[in-house]
Formats: sequence, C-alpha cells, structure tokens
Amino acid sequence: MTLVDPLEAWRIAAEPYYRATGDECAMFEAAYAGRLPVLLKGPTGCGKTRFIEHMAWRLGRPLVTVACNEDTSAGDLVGRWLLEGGETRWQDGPLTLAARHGALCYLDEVGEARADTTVVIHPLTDTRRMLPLERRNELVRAHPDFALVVSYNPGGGNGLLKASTRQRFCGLEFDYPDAEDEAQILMHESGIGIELASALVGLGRRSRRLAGHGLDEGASTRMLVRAAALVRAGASPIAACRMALVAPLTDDAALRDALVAAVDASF
Amino acid sequence: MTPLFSEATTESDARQLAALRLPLGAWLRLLWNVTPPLLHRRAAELGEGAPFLTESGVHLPPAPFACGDAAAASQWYSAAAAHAAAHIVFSRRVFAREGTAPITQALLGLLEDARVEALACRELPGLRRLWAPLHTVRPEDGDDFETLMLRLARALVDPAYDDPHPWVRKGRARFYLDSRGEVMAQARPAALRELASALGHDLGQMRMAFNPRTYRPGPSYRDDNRWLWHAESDAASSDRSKPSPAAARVAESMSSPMPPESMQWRYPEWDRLPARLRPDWCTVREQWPTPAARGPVAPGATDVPEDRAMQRRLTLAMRKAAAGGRPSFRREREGDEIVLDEAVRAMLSARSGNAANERIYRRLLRAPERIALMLLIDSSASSARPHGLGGRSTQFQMQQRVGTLIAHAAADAGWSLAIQAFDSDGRHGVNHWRVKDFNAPWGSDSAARLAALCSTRSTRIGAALRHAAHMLTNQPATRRHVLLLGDCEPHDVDIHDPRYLIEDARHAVQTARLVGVRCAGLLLDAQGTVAARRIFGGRTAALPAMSMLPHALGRLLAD
Repeated sequence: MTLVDPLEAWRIAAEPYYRATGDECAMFEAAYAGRLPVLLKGPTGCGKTRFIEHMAWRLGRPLVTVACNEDTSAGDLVGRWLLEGGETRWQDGPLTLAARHGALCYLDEVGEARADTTVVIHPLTDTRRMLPLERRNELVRAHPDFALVVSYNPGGGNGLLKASTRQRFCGLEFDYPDAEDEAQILMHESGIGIELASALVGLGRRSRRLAGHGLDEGASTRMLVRAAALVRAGASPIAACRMALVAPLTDDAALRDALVAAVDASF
Repeated sequence: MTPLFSEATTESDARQLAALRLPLGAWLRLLWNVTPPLLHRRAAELGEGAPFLTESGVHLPPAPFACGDAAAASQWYSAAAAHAAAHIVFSRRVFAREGTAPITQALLGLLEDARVEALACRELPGLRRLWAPLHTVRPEDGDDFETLMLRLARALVDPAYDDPHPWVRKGRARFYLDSRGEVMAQARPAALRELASALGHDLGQMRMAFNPRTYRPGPSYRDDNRWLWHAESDAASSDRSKPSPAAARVAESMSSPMPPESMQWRYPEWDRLPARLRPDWCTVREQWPTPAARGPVAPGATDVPEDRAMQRRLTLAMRKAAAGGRPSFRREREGDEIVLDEAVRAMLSARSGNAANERIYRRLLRAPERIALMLLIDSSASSARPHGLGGRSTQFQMQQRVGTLIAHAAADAGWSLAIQAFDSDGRHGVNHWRVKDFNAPWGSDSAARLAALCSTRSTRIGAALRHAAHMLTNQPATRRHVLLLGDCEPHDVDIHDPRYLIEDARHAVQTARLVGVRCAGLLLDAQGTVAARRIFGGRTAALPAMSMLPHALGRLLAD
C-alpha cells in the first residue's frame, strides 16, 4: 500500500528569498511553537506573502494559500459536496485540508472576504482548535502541526476586520524595507546593478510621498522588482517605470503627469 | 508676435499655468517632498520678467519666455519650478549683502545656481535634460559681461558644452574637480564666496561693464536669487508678492474647463394655507462654479491621516448600507451546495438520453444594490457662521470637507454620486452649482469646483429637493437617495411665513418618496434640528462630532 501525501503539492522545495528587516522570523517561530494564529499587517507588495513562504520553508511545513476576495464563501474554505458518476463525494476545501493534515494555512487579504466567511475560522483560532463541517456533519480536530496565518492591508482594500476576528490573532507589522534593504532585494530578485537599483528605490520612496495626496499607496517593493525585471529584459529604465509604476498607480491625469516627470528626472 | 499685455493672452496663459499647477505641485512633492505654493505673478510685473522665490512661495510669471507651443511652455515651467525647489532644498541663505561687491553678488548667485542644480542632478540625473537645453548661449554670441555670465552658467550645467574663453574655463575648472563635471570642488558656501570674488576680480581686470540695476541671472527659468540673501528688503519683496485686485479679477475671470452652459427647470411649490400646489412656481438654474486661481487643489484633499481613516469608515458604512440587497441563490455548475431536486432531475434526464442540466449547485449571492446618491450642499449665507463652539472653520468649510470625504467614500464603495450646491434669491433664482455629475469621476477639477464655492444668498430647500429628485429619476439605479448637507432651515427673500418653506420642503420629500427617491438631512450641529425633523422625519441626523459621521451616514442611507 502506498501512502499519498495529500499536501504534496503545497510543499515548498527551494528556499524562497526573504530579507529580514527585524526580528520577525524569530517572533514568528515563537508564535508557531505555541501554534498561535498570526495576523500579518502591511501595505500591499511589501513582502508579507514572501515572508510566510520563507517561514513555511524554514519550519518544513507545507503552505496552503488562499487568496480571499469578496466572493470567497465559507464553502470555498471548508469544502463542498461534489457529484461524481451518480454518487456524491465530499471534497475538503483548503482550510480543512490544512487543518486535517497539518499545514500552515495562509488566508491572503482576509479583509476582502465577507464577514460570514471569516467567522468559520473562529473555532480554529482559540484553544478548541477544531473545524466543524456542518454540511458533512463532521468535526475536524486540527492536526498538531496546523497553524493559521492571515494577511491584511490596513491602508487599502475593502474591508476592515471585525474586532471579534482580529482579537484572535497575534500581529506582525510589515512596512516597505529600508532603502538599502530594498535595493538589495531588487538586485537579488532581478539581477540588476546597484546604481539602477538605488535609482529605482529612490523613485519608489518618492512615490510613497504621494500616499494620501492623491494616491492610496505609493509604489510597492513588488512593483519596483517588476520595473527592474523589465529593465533586465532590455527595456529602458524610463519606459520600464512608466509601465511597471506609473500606469498601475493612477488614472488621474495630473498625478500621472507628475509621476512621469519624476520618472524622467530620476534617470 | 502676440502682444504681451493683451487681456486674452494673459488669461489663456494664466489658464495654462493653472492647469500645470497640480502636476507641478505633486511633482515637487515627489522629487524632494517640498510643497511650496506655486503663485501666479501679476501681469504688471511682466516687464521685470523672472520667476522669484519668497517666503510665501514660488512666483511664476503668467507667460513663459520665448516658448512657442504648450509643450515648451510646460517644459519651461517645470524647469523654473524645479530650480526654485532646488534652492529651497539645497540653499542655506548664508550670504549677507553688506560688504559684498555687486559683481561678487551676481557671481555668487550664478555659482549657487550651478551648485544647487549639480546637487539636484546628482540625485536626479534626468533633471539635467530639463535644464541644459534652456541654456542656448554660444561663444559666437559675444563676450560682454551678460553673455559671459550666461556662458559660464552653461559651462557649469552642460558637460557637453566647451567654451574657449579663458575666464569661463577657469570658472569651470575651479568649480569642478573633474573634467566631466561630476565632483564639485566648492562644498562650503565660504569657498564659493572666495571663488566668486576671484572671478569678479578677473572681470574687473577685463574692464567689463556691469550694471547691477539691469542685470538679472539667466537663462530665463532661473529666479532672481533675491531669496539667497539675508535681506533687509524682504519686507518689500513680500509686499510685492501680494496679488493685486486686478490679478484677483483675472483669476476670477478664468473660465472653468467646462462650457459655461446654464440650464433651467421649473418646479411647483406647495402653499400650506390653501393646501395646494402652485404649478411652475420656481425656476432652478444649473451652473458650473468657476474655480478660483488659488493654490492647487488635490483630488485627495484628505491629507489628514484622521480623514483617511474616516474615509475608510465611511466607505465601510456605505458598503454596509448597500449590502442590504436581497440574497439570491443562483444555480451554478460549481457552488457551495448541491440542489438535490436539480441533481435528481439531471440524472433522470441523463438516463433517459436527454441533455442534462449541469447547473445543479447553488451559490449564495447578494445582488448588489446600484445606488445613486445626490449630495446637496447648502451654500446659502447662513452656512458662513462658525462651526461648533469657538470653531476656527465655518459651517460651509466643514460641509466642503464632509463633501470631499463622501465623494471619496462613494467612489470606493462604487456608488454613483453627484454633488450640487444650491442657494436661492427669490423663487425664480434658485441656483444649483454643479460640482460633480453622476458619470464624472471625482478628480482635481471637481475638487477645485467644490473649493471655489462660497456661501451667499438664501435657502429654498423644496425647489432644491424637487430638482435633485428629478435628476435622480433619470439615473439607472436600484436605489436613489438625496442627502442634504446643511442647517436645513429654509429661508428666502420673498417669503415671510416661517412655516411656508418648511411645509413645502416636507411636501417635496414626500412626493420624492412616491417616485422612489429617499431624502435625508445631515446637519453639522444641532441648530435647525426641529425644522429638519419636520422636513425629513426620521431621516435626520445632527453631528455632535465628526467621528459620528459614518454611523449617521449609514443610518440616513439605509434601505
């Protein structure tokens, strides 16, 4: 008889690159040791998802990721009945899969999900550590290795988390890395030189000055990495920044003109 | 050649500068996080010509120099604004005029210009492409004093420019340590002063004619450097920077980007004593407010962090108010639950050889409400009173702030929103000022129109509500709301019965309800609550504090 690992697809083979900016790795390990649920807070594209991938690799646990949106229903998380050849078959959802077999379950942008959806995680986040599947009439006790991690962007996005949900989590706050760290990340991720990396980082930091002055958020580290990748693929820095930064950041004509002029001034 | 002083030229140029103000302001914030006000210089000073810098901001001329087309003009304005901002960031104002020869002052200004530009270009190399092309002097242009100064200025900013004149070469050689112009030799202001006086001495030896009265630094985008000096003349310059009444008139006459169309509607009015409607009694006129040429108005006027937090809470409240839609279970190929009846039917038809319906799952969907909201802002004279106890802002300023917050939140929540302000002057003089239309996005121009409103004249609420309801019925939506922001105390010059307009407004609310438009009144303080309750019934809220806004709005706009 062969044992099939139900989490095989979710295991992380190679170390995901992550540059720590503080004690977040140690704190996460401490939280995982107590199996405490963790809330990752921070602006979009600052490295929350990369961090959790890195930590899952470090802890040797598979990582089940769910990107939440406003249509994410409770059934999408816990599972549903399917019809197969005239028979019904239960299929575990990602949350049930992780709880049953012992993975890290990461609900990305949990604030986007509907309030009735987020309530299903409540019994998993306190000392009960269990997941009632009412449709299947089953009570899943969480595997000892299971832990729940959610991310949430307080600056943008739609929803705010209800207090009853937030208070079940420990929180780790993320922000854009320091200039030096950010340049190192750009160089590592896209293989560009230090001069271009610092110019891109400078531009990214400049764009964050407009947060609250017309922009919801400035350029994220992820956007800068994209711009660097475009340059690496042969684009000129100015064209790359227009494509990777200016176009996604704003539709307002005046702000676009200002951003384009700032890009022109930077290279 | 266009005449410089003709009214038309000045006005169109002023409009061009006004159009550039917002991008330029945002650009300077991006570059160095400085936000100097970009001021419009009055036409009378055109003769003097240069941009200049004072404590109150960067003064730009209404017409740029020798710029053929709009692109060149915007290039010139960018260069001038960036140069002035570079002074603000890098100049330290350590020079004193006393004991400095005029020629040394001129040279020191030139060297300081080159120093701040070099520092700026070190950080933002693209700026050199902006400034260098504006230096157009060539060695053939002569070697009188002014031309030599321009040649030195060019030699210091344009690495590709090679000037044969020994004095220019000396200046460049002592300013930069390397031939490519990347390392500056004169880091300290005192050293810069020594170099200026040495170069001035050389010019004296060459017996150059220098007239400190007519000299001004070139090229034209550079300011006149009055800002650099510990100035005893600061008072004079700040006085000059005050806009004259004539300039204010020019600013007022600047037309809005929209055509100045004005449209009229007639509405009935309810007369309470005979208890009947007077047909076609009031005339409502829609107009565009003309944005004043004051500072830039960013669409995100929510600069304050608490306003951003407030805006998120408002969005949430509006989402919640819209989420009341009826839940519908839709049959899907995939979904949360199997619908047993459908599944059995599908199997039956499959076994009897018919095509089976595959939609046997159901998924809970809340059909989203499409909500159209007309925000009516009371811009009558009564809104000019101060807000709250000893408040520094007026009711009307608070209404503008709340209006901005609601505009942002409505955009985030996906509501269709129009904003109009209203005032009246008799029954045929009800004015509706269009700030934002339903299909227009909230942007810098609508923000400018909101900022341009002022409180004047009277309040004829009934006619305003009838007009708002009429405009709303033409909107595609599943729910329609009118929200009146103001003190809800109607009053007009031709009405003396204090209850007449209140009863008319109440009637307007009730007739609007019949065609499916819900009206609500939001008061920023408790004054006028009695009248508001009479008009709007339960859909009235008075805000004792701004923090109550999301809650109040959620209640007023609930289904």
